[in-house]
Amino acid sequence: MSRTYGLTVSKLALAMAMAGVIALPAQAVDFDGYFRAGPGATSKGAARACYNLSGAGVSGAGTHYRLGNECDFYGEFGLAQTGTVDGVTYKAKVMFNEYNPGTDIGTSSSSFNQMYVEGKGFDIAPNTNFWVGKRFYGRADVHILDYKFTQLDGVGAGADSISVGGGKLGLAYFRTDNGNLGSSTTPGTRLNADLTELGVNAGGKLRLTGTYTKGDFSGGTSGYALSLQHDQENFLGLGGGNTLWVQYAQGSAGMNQNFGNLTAPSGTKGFRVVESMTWQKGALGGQGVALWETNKDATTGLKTDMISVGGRASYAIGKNFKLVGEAGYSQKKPEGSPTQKLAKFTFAPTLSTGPGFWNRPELRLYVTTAKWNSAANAGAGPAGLTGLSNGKTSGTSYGAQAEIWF
Amino acid sequence: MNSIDVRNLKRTPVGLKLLLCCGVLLGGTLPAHAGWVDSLLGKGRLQADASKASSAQRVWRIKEFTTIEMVPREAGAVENQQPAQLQSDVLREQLALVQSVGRSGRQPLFAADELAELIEPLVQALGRAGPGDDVLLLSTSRRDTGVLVGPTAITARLFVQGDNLQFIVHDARFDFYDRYRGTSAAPRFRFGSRTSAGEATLQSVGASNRRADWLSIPLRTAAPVATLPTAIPAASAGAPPVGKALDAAGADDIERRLETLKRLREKGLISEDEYQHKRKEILQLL
Repeated sequence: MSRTYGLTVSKLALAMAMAGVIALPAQAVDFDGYFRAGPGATSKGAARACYNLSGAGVSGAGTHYRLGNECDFYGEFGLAQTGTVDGVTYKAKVMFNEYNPGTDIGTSSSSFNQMYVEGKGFDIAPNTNFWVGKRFYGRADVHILDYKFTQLDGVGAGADSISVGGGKLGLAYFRTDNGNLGSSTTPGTRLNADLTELGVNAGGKLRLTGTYTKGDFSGGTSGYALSLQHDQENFLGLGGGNTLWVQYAQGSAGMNQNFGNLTAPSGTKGFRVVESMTWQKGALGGQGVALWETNKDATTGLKTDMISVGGRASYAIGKNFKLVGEAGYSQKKPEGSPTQKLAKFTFAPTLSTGPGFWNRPELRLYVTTAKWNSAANAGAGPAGLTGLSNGKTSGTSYGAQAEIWF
Repeated sequence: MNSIDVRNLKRTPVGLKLLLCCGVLLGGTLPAHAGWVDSLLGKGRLQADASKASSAQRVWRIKEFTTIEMVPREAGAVENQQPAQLQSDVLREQLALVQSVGRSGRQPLFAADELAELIEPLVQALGRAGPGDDVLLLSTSRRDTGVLVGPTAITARLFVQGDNLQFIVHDARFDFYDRYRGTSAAPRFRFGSRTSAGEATLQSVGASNRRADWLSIPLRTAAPVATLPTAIPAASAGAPPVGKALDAAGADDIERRLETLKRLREKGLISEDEYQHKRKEILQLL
């Protein structure tokens, strides 16, 4: 038997409530996003330089220490609305982005990077979430590298939140045309199985992701990838967390569990171990990362090893002012070629809305200095590591940047 | 969030960019009822509809994070007095009175638009919960800090017991968003509990504190009903109008509120002037 209640409210209470704290209609739109922008310079007569390993073999992705080392502008802006109809909860989301590879405003590009609908509560499977569209999906990143070691983004359809063995299972199908406006000749298919939320120790959770890819065209190849990710909260009691990835890919699958090269033969293999931790102890916060990766390209026969170690730390002088520093060292060794080396350091006095490492927005001034060897210049091509064609093996850039997420 | 595939970017005319920007700004600032999905699917199409809500529904997802969920009652707790049919307008008024006390002083726990979204799902959840269920509330909102500021979370547990709505808040302003955006790791929310105190400190002139984080909001039984209704009745149905001559139960409520007010003054949570002003108002109900 249910009871009917009228809650007791005084006249004062009613007056206060009527004064402005009640009765707005429901169904607000969620607005979220991110952007970074700001001026920077390196030397007279040249565009701003950034410092990253590139070239043949391992791309260098995952070794980009970003603080004071972003020569581009980027923003993304999303709208979402959620509602319930007859017990089924829907969410529809769109997001578009704006990208400029340099400082000038005239060369920017825009696109919609998310358009999808998901729903949960359907009577055939009330606890399963179904989705279709173009979306970000299954992301896990290291912020200071601006790199997502797991990234299932794409155009697809799937179901997730399926309870399996103490965890949650997601199954998804993705398709890429890998071309433009109907002229595609290299379409591909990807299947992902993503088992998350597996409790394995106190405060620790395991994630297992499996991937199968296939290039659906003459010369297209298949591939598969596996990723194991362990997340530990409040690692070492430092108020942050720790994430460990162990990842393997073969053929046309990528180690980030997305599409790789859809023509890569089965002898193409990659393996990496990534360790990243965050902390916030009083005024001192930060994020550190260590990476070891090896790849073999079966088409060229080139084997490449790569390591990278770095971190960013912030120390709050007061509520709104932080001193931030970031240091990183990376090296890449293509088989039969000299080892490419790069070290980078940035100092950035920063204004923010709070003293924490993650508080945003940040308004930062920065000075970045970097040193690299001639092998890194040669590996990057004729213009060298900075693209400035000056043959130098060190450089300094400075500037200001705003970064915000909301 | 921060990396893109440049190969997928297409040059876009300036006019379209302007249109997109305007769309975002309008979408972010339009009144709550003017959502863009409304224009696609019909106004109000996505609104929580009490008369159509599935009786099996246990989760009400309202926004990206904001969710109301029925969960098994905490272990060892006595049975709740549910299902309980609450009046939405009066529940809204009571929750609007709840204040959070923090370093920056007192402030309303909920923003007005936030509360407007929560009330009907809360009424539905408490109306469908059984004696063995608690209701968890996770509400994230920017609360008038602007669209470019990340939301903070309220995490609470609700249930009806002793003819009171029990409202236990673990966090009143959980600052989860920056870390979530920085790490992509799903935030861990902790809800109010009967057995362990949370971080929040609450007060309300319309309720009494059982603990700093736990308010007991008085209810008056209006009319028991034999079965769970299929529709939430009109707000005023079944309960005596507020302000009507008080019966014995109403006098008890007055006494409880005066005692709460006195405690708040003794703890220094309200000033002498506030105490006297509110005491006078409460006494006028006698």
